[in-house]
Amino acid sequence: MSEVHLEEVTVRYPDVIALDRVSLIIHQGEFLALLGPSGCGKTTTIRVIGGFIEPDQGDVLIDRKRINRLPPFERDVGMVFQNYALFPHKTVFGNIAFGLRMKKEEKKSLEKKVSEVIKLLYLDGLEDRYPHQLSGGQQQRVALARALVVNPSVLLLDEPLGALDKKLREEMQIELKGLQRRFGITTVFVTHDQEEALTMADRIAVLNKGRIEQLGTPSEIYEAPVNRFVSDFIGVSNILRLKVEAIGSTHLSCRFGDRYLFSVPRKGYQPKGTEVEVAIRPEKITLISEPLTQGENFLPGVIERVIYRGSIFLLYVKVSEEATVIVQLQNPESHFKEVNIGEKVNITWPADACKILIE
Amino acid sequence: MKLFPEKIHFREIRLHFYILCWLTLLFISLPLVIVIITSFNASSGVNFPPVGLSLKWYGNMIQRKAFSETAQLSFFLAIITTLFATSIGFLSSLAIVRYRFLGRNILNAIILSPLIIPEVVTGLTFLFLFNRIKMNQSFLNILLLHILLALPYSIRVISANLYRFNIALEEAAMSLGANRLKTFLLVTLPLTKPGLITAAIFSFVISFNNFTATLFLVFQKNTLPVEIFSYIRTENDPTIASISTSLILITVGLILLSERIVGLERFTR
Repeated sequence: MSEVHLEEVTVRYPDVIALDRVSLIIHQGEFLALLGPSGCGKTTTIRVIGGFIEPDQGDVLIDRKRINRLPPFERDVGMVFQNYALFPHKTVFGNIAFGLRMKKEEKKSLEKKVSEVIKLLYLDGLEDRYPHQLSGGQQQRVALARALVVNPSVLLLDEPLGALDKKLREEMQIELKGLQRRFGITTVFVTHDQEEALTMADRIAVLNKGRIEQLGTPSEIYEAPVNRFVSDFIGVSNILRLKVEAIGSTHLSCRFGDRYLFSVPRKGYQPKGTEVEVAIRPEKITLISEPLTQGENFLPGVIERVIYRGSIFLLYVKVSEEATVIVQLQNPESHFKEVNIGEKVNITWPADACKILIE
Repeated sequence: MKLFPEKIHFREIRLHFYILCWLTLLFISLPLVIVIITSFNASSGVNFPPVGLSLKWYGNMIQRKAFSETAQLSFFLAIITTLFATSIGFLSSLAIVRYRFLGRNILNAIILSPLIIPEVVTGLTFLFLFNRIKMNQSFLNILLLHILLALPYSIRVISANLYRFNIALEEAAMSLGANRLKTFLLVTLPLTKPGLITAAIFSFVISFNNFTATLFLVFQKNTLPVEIFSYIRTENDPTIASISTSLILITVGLILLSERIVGLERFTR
């Protein structure tokens, strides 16, 4: 249970800057997800915290103690590796007990601690198996047990669920989150799966090209992405280019093409006549049968494509020569169940669903 | 590992294939079989098929002091060569596999060069060198030669093992509080063991068997292969076959033993 500070951490590789002055505070007991595409620096970040990479510049602190040059084995940081890195020559018991043995734990309390964590992670009866005799999910649990049993002050997880199939992954997400709550352990979690980050994390840091693009709670990240990268990376976004027509106290009035006017919440400084990019989530958009009378906040279009996904379906609505808007509808959405390609529809959304993206 | 993928049907060519396989195996092992049978020959010529059966050549082999002494020397040489070639090979392999340093490729090439250079040349250059620096330690000279000859094999085998080694395992150990030494002893070493054992067997056999290059450096005491060679220049009886048979048995035993050890460790790969 500790606090981790990264201060202006820079890591350079011969041909690329892996981390570019990254500053980040991970609070005590927090579950922080590092989210980003491959090569964004998320793995480098936890490897810096774990002590496997020494930063070229900047500082790493745990509980306000500078640990830049401390080797991993003096850090009290637990790590679950991407492919678990279980010791193939040791049994489940031997793997889990390894850390305690390094701490010279007494035999009795070692056995007690190991059997506790084995129970906690439903590994009963597998103590004498070797890693290659376990399923992927079991291996994952052993890796977690091995890291947790020594009660580290910080837990690092490097895509720990990446190798599991979808169903198991979703189960483990909830279980892992529960465990983290229970232990109250400061946790940093690396993932490229935005759904996983949204499900599990208290806060998410979205990384791109060695920089943090946005740091916030899952709902902040999802509802109010600060820029195009974040809005593209998290979920699906429709992005429209609008021209500022008039500036109100809270909202801007913007024009799409030459006819349609939209009300958009203000953000930053957008003078009259400039073009802004606006993101709208597909599930915020609805279909209406009649054009709105006041002639604002709606757009006519033609259905180009329908994708059925069971609980939802997606409509691709072409609204201009260049722009297609994705609309997500719940199933059943009684009166729009029969939508056909080529049909003309009108779409609308609440003004506050639009988010201006700042480059 | 399966020899054939199950999906492909070899039914038509299977018979021909088996015959070819067995012929090849026969071709490889026939000389050994003939040597073994000859060693029990009752007459004093190297006859095949043998004329009567006898163990007297084994008796001769044991009684002749030259054989037991040179066998001891060869054995001793092979053991020390194995220790050095395996440990130097392990450390060099670690450096070559794990680190990128200036001259890494050159070092790799130099270490592997005894594989390509004819043994006659190697032996001759060693002879020149030792003469030049007036180093007349027969045992030490041969030992150095054997280590040099065994190293490329040892390094090849161990690096192959290390290339497959997942570095994350060492990192996992360190994140669990194992310092570098403990990580090495508890994770790296046990997982490299199959490679080390194989390298040790290679080194032992290379040293124990070497004849061509060793011949240049022998002047006080012969090694066993050199002794065998000088024996058949003067004598022509099946004693040599008895020695060969004994060596075959020892080698097979060694391989079976290592199979057992390595075989048990196989799951660690």
